[in-house]
Amino acid sequence: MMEVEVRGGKDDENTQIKKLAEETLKNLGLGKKLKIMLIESDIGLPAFYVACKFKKDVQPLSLGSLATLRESSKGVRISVTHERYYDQIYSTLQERVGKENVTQDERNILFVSNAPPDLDSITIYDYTEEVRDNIIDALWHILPEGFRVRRFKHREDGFIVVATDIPPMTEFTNKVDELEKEIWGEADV
Amino acid sequence: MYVFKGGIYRHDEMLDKIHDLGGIVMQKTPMQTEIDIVFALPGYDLSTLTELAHKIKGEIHEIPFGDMEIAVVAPSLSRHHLPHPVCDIAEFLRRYGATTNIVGLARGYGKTIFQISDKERRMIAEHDAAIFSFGAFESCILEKVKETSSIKVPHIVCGGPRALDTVENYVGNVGRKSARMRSVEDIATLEEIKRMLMDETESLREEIQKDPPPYAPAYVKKKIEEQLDIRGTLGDNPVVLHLDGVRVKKPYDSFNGQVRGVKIGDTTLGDIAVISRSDMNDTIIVKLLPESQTGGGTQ
Amino acid sequence: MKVTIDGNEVETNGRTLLELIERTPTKSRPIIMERRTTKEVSVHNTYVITTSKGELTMEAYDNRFHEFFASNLDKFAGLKAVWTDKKSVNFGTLALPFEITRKQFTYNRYEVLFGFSGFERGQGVLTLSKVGFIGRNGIEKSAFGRIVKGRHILEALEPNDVIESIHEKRERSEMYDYTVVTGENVELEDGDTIITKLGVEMNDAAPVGSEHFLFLTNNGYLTIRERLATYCKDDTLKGVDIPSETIAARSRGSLSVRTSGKQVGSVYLYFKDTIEDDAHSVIGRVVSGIELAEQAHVGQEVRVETTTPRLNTLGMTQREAERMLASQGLNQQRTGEKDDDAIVIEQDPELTVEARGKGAVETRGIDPAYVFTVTLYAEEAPETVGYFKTVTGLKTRALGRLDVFFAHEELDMILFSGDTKLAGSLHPEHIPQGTVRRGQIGITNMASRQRGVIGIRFDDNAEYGPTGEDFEHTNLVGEIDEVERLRSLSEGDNVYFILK
Repeated sequence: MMEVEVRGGKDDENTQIKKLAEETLKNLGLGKKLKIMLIESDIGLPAFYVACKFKKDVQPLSLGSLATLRESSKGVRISVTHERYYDQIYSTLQERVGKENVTQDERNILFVSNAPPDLDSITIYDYTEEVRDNIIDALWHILPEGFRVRRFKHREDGFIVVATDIPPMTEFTNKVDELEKEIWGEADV
Repeated sequence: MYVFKGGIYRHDEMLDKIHDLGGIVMQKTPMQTEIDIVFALPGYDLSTLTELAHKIKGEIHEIPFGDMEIAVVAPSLSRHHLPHPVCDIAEFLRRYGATTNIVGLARGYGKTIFQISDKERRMIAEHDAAIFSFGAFESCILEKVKETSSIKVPHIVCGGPRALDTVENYVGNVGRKSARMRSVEDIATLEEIKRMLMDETESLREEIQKDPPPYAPAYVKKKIEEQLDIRGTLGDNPVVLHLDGVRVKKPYDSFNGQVRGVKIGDTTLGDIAVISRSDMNDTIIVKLLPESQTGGGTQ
Repeated sequence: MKVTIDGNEVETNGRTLLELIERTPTKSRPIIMERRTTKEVSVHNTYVITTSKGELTMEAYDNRFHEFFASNLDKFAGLKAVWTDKKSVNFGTLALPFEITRKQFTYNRYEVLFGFSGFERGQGVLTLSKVGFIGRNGIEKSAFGRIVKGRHILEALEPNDVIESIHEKRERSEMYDYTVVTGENVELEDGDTIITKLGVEMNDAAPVGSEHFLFLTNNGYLTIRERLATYCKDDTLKGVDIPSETIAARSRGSLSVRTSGKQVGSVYLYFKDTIEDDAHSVIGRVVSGIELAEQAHVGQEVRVETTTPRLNTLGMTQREAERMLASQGLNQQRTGEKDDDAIVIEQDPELTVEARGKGAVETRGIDPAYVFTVTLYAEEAPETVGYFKTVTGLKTRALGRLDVFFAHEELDMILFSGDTKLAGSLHPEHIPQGTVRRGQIGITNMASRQRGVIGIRFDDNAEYGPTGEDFEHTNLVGEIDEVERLRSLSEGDNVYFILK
């Protein structure tokens, strides 16, 4: 289950923002995607630091996870199991192996001739992008109005943002590093 | 202001009695076999109406804010902060008869840049009371409250923290919400706002009673509706009651002459009221002058 | 000892109350005695400040500044406005015995406070604030009151305007002590006021409504059927249609008649100032003795005296009519039967207001042979009596009329036409027991198809009612004397009735 931590404000304020964050994320269907969300507020400035870490299963989708691959006489036979991604599979394959090498046999069956050896690990859809967008959208619901992102640190399985309505300060960079260390551990930075 | 809720059958007796007692029927809403009658009544003889209501299987309730227009002010009305608690507050007060207007400030968000412009200040001052809803953070609220000190109408400040000792008329647990205010706790908060507003406006009412205008606003409203052709006005309430006057929802330039000319008793409205242009949608504000300035009237 | 009776001062000479007044009050027709004590009291903590621009009223708080103010009122009279600005008006200067401080304090709109000009003890000022402000006035939280009335004067005050006087607000309070006298003797005191009747002036702009009221109070009394703080009401004539003549504000003492709704025809007397209403036509006003109606209970009758009596000669003889009209300075013109004994059945103009305006009245007489005196059973058969009065017109007139609908020499009864529609709700009431006597008036009730028909028998009958119906279809409404005179009537004749 996701874990939301809010700190920096008064107890009353923290509980309220925590409740707001939890409910907003749940409403947007992000409850199962996030491992940690940490919101630290510095009302004196004012600035908000938000760090998010996704769950392990939030990774790009490969062809192998969406279809069954088998060698056959006509090349590699791909039977699509997640039909939602059919069009993306079709277009990605055409792009990677050439239009002439991809043929459709039945509704959910594709044949690829001259297939590269790493066919099953081709990235079909980068799912983390969608999650990232949705979380940033959720942040606008949670944070007070009028705050702009002054600093953004991207990580493979998460991100850290600083939202504020004052000009950039060195403090922000320090804080981002501090939070990164706290969540991802010293060695990882 | 009171409302009678009962059946259509024999409701004409109720109407007759209201007229006999010198009351003014503001609104009649028939719904199939039921009817709601909203009326204003001089202080005496309410009990006889309650008895009659009981006899014809209806009931009479007081509408505490029936003669008030209340501004509900939010720092911003942004889309991604929906649902706004101000909507719930406004809707809740409407159940008790208030006409509410939601005011979203132009530069109301952020602790550092928050301000209420002169025009906004004048707009809020046109109302009988105001309710401010200021975010979840204590230090932000304290910063924003400074701007409200110059608001002369009775006002209430709402915010997230449960209690703020330094802020006058403060109601907590409003702040930011991710859902409509429908839980038991939220409804208790709304009730608290209503109660506090009643206390605040009660003292204003008493003050007006010490030097009242010669004619009651409800009577002025009746006269305006009789003498002005306002049927073409969009919206169902073209003349809104205030504690000390009315708002006429008509363009100032083309209608202020007619409003001034409305005959009341043996004077005209222009003689007993200050009539000015409202900053809200170019409507007309009629503020009745107190008796000490105009001399006595009959009602 | 002197007392006032209905506005006239009377020397008692040892007479008791009952000896002084014309008629003895009864339980149902009371009078009242009013004992008034007037005293002037000062209103707690409220002051009137008279300036050269007008009067201000201030309500004071309970604090030491107020105490100082209250005990030194005369010091403030004569102070001049030394300066005025957007925030306040300042009167001064005078010495004030308070500590000087340079701190800031918050004051509300319209508050009255003390201050020091230039932080000097000798330069004290009395400040009337126009807006709320935070300022250094030199004295810690010195507000001690608030202007509640006459706030617009603050804007008008200029330098050199003067406080002419300050005094505690005083109000005359009149205490009334009413005693409702219903027959017993009450001891009188000097200066007591006795009210025995309402003095009423009719509104000439409402001739029909005035006539309605004059008819209602023809016996000299108004019955109180409902009494509230706002009004009292007499609904004896409920159901009589009255046109709307004068829509005006109903002030204290106004008499109005309802012109629409279920209560149409009811007469209202207002005790409070009330706004005008489309359903109320103002027909006159009570000019004296309204307290009598205010104190009376539901069911009691109060005496009414109108300044102009009703001019209606219906039912009188031509001779009586002439006398009555002459006493009011009007000429009579006789038409129809002109004998002194002839009974007046029509009058032109009929309305009192119009007759008075014209100065002459035409009275049409008829042979008294056609006029009968009727006694109605108002107690036993109220609904049927109401029907009879409506059909004959006795409800709004002194003289009623019926048309003969069936009469035959060999038949021992006579029938008059009624109102079938109105009789639709005529329930069986006061049904004959044993025999129907000659001269009794019967009405067929709603139980029969012939409902509404009115009849009289010339002989007693133990089997059938006056209209020829079974007893259970017959309501008895009253009886007449001189039955024999009816025998000579034939179909189409008109018969007139006067109430006994």
